[in-house]
Amino acid sequence: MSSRAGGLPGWAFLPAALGLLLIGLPAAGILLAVPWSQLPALLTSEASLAALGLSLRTSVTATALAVVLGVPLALILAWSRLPGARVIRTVVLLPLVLPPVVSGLALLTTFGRRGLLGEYLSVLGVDIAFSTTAVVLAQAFVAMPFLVLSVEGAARAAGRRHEVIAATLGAGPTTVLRRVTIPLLTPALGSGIALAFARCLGEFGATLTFAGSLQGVTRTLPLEIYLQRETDPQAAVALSLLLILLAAVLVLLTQRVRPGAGAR
Amino acid sequence: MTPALTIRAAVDDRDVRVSIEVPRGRVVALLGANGAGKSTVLGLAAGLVRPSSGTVLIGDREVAGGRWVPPHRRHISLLAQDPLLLPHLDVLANVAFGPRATGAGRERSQQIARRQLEEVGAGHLADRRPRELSGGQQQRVALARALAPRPQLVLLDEPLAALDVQAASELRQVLRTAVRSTGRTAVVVTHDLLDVLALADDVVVLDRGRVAEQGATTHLLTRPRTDFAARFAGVNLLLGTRLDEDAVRLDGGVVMHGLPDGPGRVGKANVVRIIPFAKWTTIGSAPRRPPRSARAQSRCTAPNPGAARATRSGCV
Repeated sequence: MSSRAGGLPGWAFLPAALGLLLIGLPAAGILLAVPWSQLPALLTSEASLAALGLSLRTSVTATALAVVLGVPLALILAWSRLPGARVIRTVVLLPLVLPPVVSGLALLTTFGRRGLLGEYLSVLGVDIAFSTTAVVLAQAFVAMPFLVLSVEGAARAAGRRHEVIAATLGAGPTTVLRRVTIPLLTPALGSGIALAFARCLGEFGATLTFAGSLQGVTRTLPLEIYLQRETDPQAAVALSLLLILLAAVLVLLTQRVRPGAGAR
Repeated sequence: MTPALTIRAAVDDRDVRVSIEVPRGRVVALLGANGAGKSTVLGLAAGLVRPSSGTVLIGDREVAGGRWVPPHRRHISLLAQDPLLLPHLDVLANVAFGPRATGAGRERSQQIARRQLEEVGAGHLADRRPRELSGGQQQRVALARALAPRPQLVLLDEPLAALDVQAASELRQVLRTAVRSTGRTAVVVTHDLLDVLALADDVVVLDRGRVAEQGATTHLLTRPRTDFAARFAGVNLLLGTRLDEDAVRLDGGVVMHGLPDGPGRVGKANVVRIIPFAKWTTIGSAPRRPPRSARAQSRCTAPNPGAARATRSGCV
């Protein structure tokens, strides 16, 4: 199979196979540990359903927030000649590489009761920390970089040629954004949304630090898993299976739209 | 009558400084080597480039200089080398895009689009998706889209350059009908003599950011004064010094005789034009701002049966 002209050398398949095993074996391992017969009961317990519902609600909201704020940010980073673009991009991508617990701490020191903004907000009677809002903020904080990266890359690669033509046809900037830019970026936007949503579902560290772990309020699926791990390992494994499946479906979705099959 | 487009502007960071007028109802070809400033001139007209000084007028409306009018309010369409149809819309919706964006209702826009597609011979493609069309068909649709908003001016940026010979020749005909015969005003950038002959009433030659030469197409192609225009028209230009009424001593020492193009002064720099396929050698002035030669003040023309024969002593 490596005999094609310009093909890879045969030995390259060895590290590739080991790499696949490194990720694939644990995934298979947890599948083997799943208590299949008790699965329905474990997944439909009150705590599980509460966690799952909360996770889905907050993840959808946080992803929507990331789209509304992240798409304009990505387009500005891709197309405008802002003087501090590099600094802005660094700030926006920071959550990708920060330990989530640090992200949570950063949010807490800003929105917490004695935080930068939290102090003013609490005067107004708004308390964000340790609420469902905090969960959404934490998820949006860690997930937005995925969306920005995906959309910015696509926008930069596509250039603005269609936009220029649309403008000469009489379309104002808002019309161009709505009828040209967004439709053309749909593939990238789709994969960005899927990745961001998956990251929201998996959020743990920042949520725990900033929002705590109150059942039905801030205890999302990953937090529930962590908690169950101590008391009921089988339930933890069952819930993990659910998260793995959700993640796999989402990642699969991002692969359906290949760059070559994209609009531009 | 005010010209459809007046550009008297400079773009400093590209070292472009031009004064160009496009009369209403005429097609002007913009020629020049790569980097001569053709795209900058189109950009100035379309609102994609801001002048560092000077002004741009569309009709008598100032669009750059004292005030700035953004591209979408200029009523200038741009047809580029690449059709750039919107892949998520069908052909009809692509052509209806302009009318729709400028406020026409859905029905009305589609009606305009249908008529415009018919005009360029693409009516039967209305329901197709851009990716189902050939390059020539796509460019035809792009032309219809550019014309649909009834622009005051159409900018054609090498519209045939990406097409194969057959498709280019078909679309050239379509362009000729759609642009030239209907009295639309257009600026066409091209590297192809055929496009100029088929489409352009006037020619402007740019060289290193300045207008090197401009005039009516036939005049400029038969009596080029710049290297670029001469090469473009397939004419040889030789530089020399006027010896007398009908003779020029070339820089290499060879003397050439020809028909004077106009009165000239002995001892001044001159150009000799040899048109390989015609009966004439003409002697005339060098361009006002010659790319690589001295200045000249005179013109003359001389008969030259067959190819020009020149000797050291100076007989043809």
